[in-house]
Amino acid sequence: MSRIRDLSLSRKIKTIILFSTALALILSSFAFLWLSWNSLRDSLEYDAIGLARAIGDNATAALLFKDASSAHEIILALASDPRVLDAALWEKEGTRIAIYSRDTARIPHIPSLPPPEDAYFEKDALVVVRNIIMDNEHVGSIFLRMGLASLQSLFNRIFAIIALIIGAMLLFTYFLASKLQALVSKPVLDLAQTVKSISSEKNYGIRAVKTGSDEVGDLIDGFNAMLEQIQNRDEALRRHSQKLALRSAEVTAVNAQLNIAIQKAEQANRAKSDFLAKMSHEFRTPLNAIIGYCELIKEEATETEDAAYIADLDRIHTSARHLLALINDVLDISKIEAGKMEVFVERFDVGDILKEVYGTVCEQVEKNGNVLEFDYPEDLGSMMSDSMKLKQILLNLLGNSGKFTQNGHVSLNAGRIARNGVPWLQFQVKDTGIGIRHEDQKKLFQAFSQVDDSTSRKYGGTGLGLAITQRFVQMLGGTIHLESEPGRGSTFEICLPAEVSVTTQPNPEFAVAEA
Amino acid sequence: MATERVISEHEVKAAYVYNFAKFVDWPENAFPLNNSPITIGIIGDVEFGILMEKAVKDKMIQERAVRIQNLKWPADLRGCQIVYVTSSEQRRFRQIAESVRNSPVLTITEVEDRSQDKGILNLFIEGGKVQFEINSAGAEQARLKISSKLLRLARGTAGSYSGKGK
Repeated sequence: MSRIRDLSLSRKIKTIILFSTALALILSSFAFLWLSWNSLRDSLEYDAIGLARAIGDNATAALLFKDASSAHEIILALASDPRVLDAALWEKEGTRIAIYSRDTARIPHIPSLPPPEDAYFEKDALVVVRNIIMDNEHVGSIFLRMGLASLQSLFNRIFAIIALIIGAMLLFTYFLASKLQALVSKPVLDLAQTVKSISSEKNYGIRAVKTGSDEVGDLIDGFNAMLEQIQNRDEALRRHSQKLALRSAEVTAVNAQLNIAIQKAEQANRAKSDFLAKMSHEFRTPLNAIIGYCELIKEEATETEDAAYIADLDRIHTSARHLLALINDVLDISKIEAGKMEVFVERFDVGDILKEVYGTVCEQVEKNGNVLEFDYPEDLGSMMSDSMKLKQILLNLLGNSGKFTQNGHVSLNAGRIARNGVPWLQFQVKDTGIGIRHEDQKKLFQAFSQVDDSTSRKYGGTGLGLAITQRFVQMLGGTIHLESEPGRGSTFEICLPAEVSVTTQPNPEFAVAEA
Repeated sequence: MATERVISEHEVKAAYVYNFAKFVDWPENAFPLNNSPITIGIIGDVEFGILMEKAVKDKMIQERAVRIQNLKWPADLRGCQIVYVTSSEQRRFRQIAESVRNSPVLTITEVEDRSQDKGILNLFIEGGKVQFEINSAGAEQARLKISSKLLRLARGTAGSYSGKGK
């Protein structure tokens, strides 16, 4: 079967037609031959019985009068039929009165006693035995053996003729199939040729020619429609890729510009940070001198009770300290932005840090008539982190709250929580101060940004505190959230992992939660 | 040959007469009714009549029963289809033949001498066997049809009807 599958379409069709025709012809011929053989045998049997009856009828008188010579004469009439091999006549008493045989050598094959009435086929002969009846009286028996040779030769002739007819018909069928197979195979072969030329030339403009509206016609229609689609898609793709090429050229150009800009910006930023770091350092030395001398003069003025100078000296001292704080913050920010701020991870007790923070910030917060409350469990335990940065974060937040709250409450809550199965520490700094407007909450963590310039004048501060706080939280792998309503106060929530490993990446998310 | 001796000449002849009847066609008017029996009249030996009775006992010829009648001359022979004249009554044959002239009656004689008058059928002994000869002209005159099967067995068939006498 696999061989037939690999044949070409036209040969396949020819083979199928020839095979079917041959099968039909051979089967019907077999049926015909079988019928012919049977009818030939039947007619031979019919002939034999008729012959036996005729001879027997002729021989009645000879049998009744036991006239052997007459019986012999009668039986000799069978010589005219070449099919008769042997024959015999018996009287009613069972005496064999006459025999005939085409070949004397066959005489021993003739039974000597009359067999019972019968008709049967031997290997190559038909035997018929009939009783001879006259006036309902049994007058004798006749035996006939007829050869099948003539039947065989007749059958052979029929067989030869049929074989000849089959051969001729197969030849004719082959001729016809060769001509007609093109009806089916040509459109398919043409289509295959078209497909081949399309795939080799990559020309989707070629169309298959439809020759009829049969299944192949449908196939060709479908194929042409598909080509149409491919062509359209190719066109669309070409246009798209042209656009894309243009776009990508644009993007490349923009990217190049951007890269240059970024490089410039980075350079500028680094230059700015370097400048700030240097300048801050250079500023600090004379500023410390100013503060130191200012304190000295203030002490002398206090001793001499030169009160007129004290207020001025206080202003100078405050301004100088503010300037120093500003410079420290600028130094921190520039260190952070220059990537020079380092994290020192160590194990420390959180409660100790909170006590230190309380001691440092208490006076500053209560100055505005505020109540400062710290609330945390005794067993807060230790954490593995940068204690100095944690302290500065909390100082910044509490200082801020104290600064923007008058006669209110500032509180710190601390506790342990679990995030993704890992222990974290949560710190909440809450105040009842002026609060922050929603639209301002977003830019709160940017450097040098207070809510507006007037704030800076009214409340003091550098505007760098929250920016630094946020960068520190980020460096310690934590998050910072702000919830605030104008006039109702603010809550800053800091979450830090209890164990900062060396691999802990700074958390890029430091979004301000929208209230 | 042994059986030939046991079976007497007359027995053979009786069987012959019965068999002859099978091969003879009578015209329709030979029988008073469609199913009338074939009547065989025997003129002469009563003994032969007995043998004849034996030969045809319970037998049918051409779908007719067979009846044997022993006749004493002169008798009405027109009711018979076959008249058998034994050799003992041969001298009366001419008269008998005359009485059934033109009638469909098969006359059978047993004459050995060639010069004597014979019936349509005549039985004789030749070579120790019973043979028969047929006078076909006589049969024709009596409007009897004798089957060719029988004719081919007869020793002589050319003889003229002897009944007209010399």
